[in-house]
Amino acid sequence: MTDDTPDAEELLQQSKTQKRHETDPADITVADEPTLVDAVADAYASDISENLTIRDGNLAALFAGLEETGELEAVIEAAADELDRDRDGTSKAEALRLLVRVALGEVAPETLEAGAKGYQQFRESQDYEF
Amino acid sequence: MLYLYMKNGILTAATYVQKGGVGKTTTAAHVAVAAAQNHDLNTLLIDLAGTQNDLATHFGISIDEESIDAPISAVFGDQWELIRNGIDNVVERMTFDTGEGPVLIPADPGLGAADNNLANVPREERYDRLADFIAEDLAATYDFVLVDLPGKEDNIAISGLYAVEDVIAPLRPGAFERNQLENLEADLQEIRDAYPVDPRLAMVLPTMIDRRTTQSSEFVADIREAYPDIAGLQVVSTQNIGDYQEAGSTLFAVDDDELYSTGQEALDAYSTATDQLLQTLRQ
Repeated sequence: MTDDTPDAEELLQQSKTQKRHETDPADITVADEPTLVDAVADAYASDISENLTIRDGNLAALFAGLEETGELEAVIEAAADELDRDRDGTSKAEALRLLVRVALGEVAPETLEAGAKGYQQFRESQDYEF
Repeated sequence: MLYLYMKNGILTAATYVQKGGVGKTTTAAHVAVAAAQNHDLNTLLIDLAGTQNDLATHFGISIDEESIDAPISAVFGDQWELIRNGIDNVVERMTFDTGEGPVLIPADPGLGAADNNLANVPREERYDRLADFIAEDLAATYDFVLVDLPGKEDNIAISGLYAVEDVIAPLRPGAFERNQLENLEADLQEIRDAYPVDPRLAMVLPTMIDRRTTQSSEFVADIREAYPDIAGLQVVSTQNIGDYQEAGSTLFAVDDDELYSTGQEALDAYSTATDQLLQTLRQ
């Protein structure tokens, strides 16, 4: 053991007792009442699940039918056209990803803009390069 | 080339796939034991996959905050240099004996905070801490380091991919798994595009295969077609894995005559997959 041991031991033990909520990245601004943009950026920075779950037997049956008959692809195509973006696959997940965006664009378009700004804010805070 | 030099000759790989429930931890445990028992490699397992410590449980080791004498999360902190210089046996204090060959460094509660703290580290220095730990602190002792990574794209996972580069991806058939192969490549490509790392698929392992179902057969055929050089032998679904996992061991710890035929087949598949993986890593 060297003379540094007590300090080093203390630092070592501190590592396992640190909590995520006590160590927010310093370059992420946390406001008292976060805006949707801030909240989205914070969500990107935390370890949220990337899955959204819907439990709805009727929709599940409908989508199973759409997939079985091959009509799902047309739905995906229509949703992608509406959003003016390229589709990325022919799965039910892709259909739902697009349809949720179409619906949000219809009833609350400002939320989609906030989502995009939140993502941008998160990227800038992480200093990522493209 | 510089990177290979930095590894100091140690073999490294990580189990990584951005999907849960595909047998990632089970694969890590069995491959590590096969490497230790069949290839006589000094093998170290590092669990960075979360604080539930599934790998420790797999080997019947009970872990809590008190039992972790030296946490792996310290490696990701700014003070690691001071800690490693100040405590001679700090790496030894991190490890637990699995009783089956490999040594285990378990996850600890500080990993979440370590992930957050890494976000404050300048990007050019953010991801090299685990790589440095492997080269400087592990290479002299171990022949093979296998890291079980979080199934997400956080700073710990990216550090793991930076450090080991070679990825083992277990995949299982299922109703919602049809795009798994595409997703696997897309996820790795996204990581290559966004971070200074270049993960390579070293093995794709079909797990939980039930040969009675067409879906399973098609799934295995798809994997073999997509990855002819790195597809592992199928690991069949067997009650033995869950039972012995619960009892705290891999299939390698069980006498052959106590295994079902499916258990023996899964055991052989893990052995063969490990042979194949080590051959790929040595290339």
